[in-house]
Amino acid sequence: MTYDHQSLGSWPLLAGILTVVSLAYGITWRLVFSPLAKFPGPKLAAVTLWYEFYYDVIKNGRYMWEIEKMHERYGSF
Amino acid sequence: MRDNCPDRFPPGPIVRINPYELHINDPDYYDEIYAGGGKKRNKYDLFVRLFGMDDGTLSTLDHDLHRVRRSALNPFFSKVNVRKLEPIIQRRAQKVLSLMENLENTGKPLNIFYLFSAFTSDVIMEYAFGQSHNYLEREDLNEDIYHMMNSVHHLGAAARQFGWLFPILLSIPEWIITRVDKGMATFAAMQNVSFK
Repeated sequence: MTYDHQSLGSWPLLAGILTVVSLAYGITWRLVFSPLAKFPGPKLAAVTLWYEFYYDVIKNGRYMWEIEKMHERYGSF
Repeated sequence: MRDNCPDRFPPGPIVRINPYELHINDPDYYDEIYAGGGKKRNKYDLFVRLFGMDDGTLSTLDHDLHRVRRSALNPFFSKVNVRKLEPIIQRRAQKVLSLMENLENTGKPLNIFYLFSAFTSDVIMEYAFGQSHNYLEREDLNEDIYHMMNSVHHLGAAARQFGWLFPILLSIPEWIITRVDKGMATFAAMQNVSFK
C-alpha cells in the first residue's frame, strides 16, 4: 500500500500549526499569565511537569533536594 | 499548594517548582495551608491520584464530602478502640522477638524489612479485617508481597505525572497479573478473601 500525501491535502500542515499554536499558548500562559508567574524558580520547571518527572521518576525521588537548591538560588528574603 | 490564592502570601522563601505548585520554605505557613477548624481545604488532585483509587476516602478531593466519608472511620481511631489493639500488637511483637531469638547463634541472616513488614501487616489486617493472614508464621515472611508493595510505592511518582497509569494497570485482568508477579498473586488472593 502506498501512502499518498496528496489525498491528505493540507490537513497535516493544519494539525502541525495547531499543535505549535496550542503549545505556544500553554507555555505563554504558564510563564506570563498564570497567577504563579510572578514567583521565582527555574523557567523550565514552570513550563513543564517533565522537569519534576526527571528528578522524581528517573532519578528516583530526588526532586526534594533539587527544591532545596532552588530555595538557595531563588528563595532568599 | 494550588494556584488559587497566591496573592495572600508575602514575598519570601517561595519558589515555583512546577506549572501548578509553589514550595514554601517557612514553617509559619503550616497554619495557613493545613488550616484547622472552620476553614475549608480541598485536596489536590495531582497529589491524591498517586493512590490509584479516585473514589476512596483518602482521595476524596472535596472538603465537605471528605469530612463525611472520613467520619465513618472515626471510631477506629478512638482511644478506646486503639487501646483494645494493644494485645494484638503485643502478641505479634512477642512473635517477632522469638523469631529473632531462634536465629541467635545460628549464623543465619534475617531480613529485617520482611520481618517488620510482616509484623505491621499482621497487626493492621487483624484490626481492619478482623482476621490476619499471619505472615509472621510463614517461613518466607511473605516477602513477595513486600516487594510488590515496594514497587507500587516507587510507581507513585510516575503515577502523579501520568493520570492514566494506574487506571490502565488496574484494568489488567487478574489472571495475567498473577502470572507476571508473585507478589501480585498474593495480593489478589488477599483481595478476594477480603471481598467475600
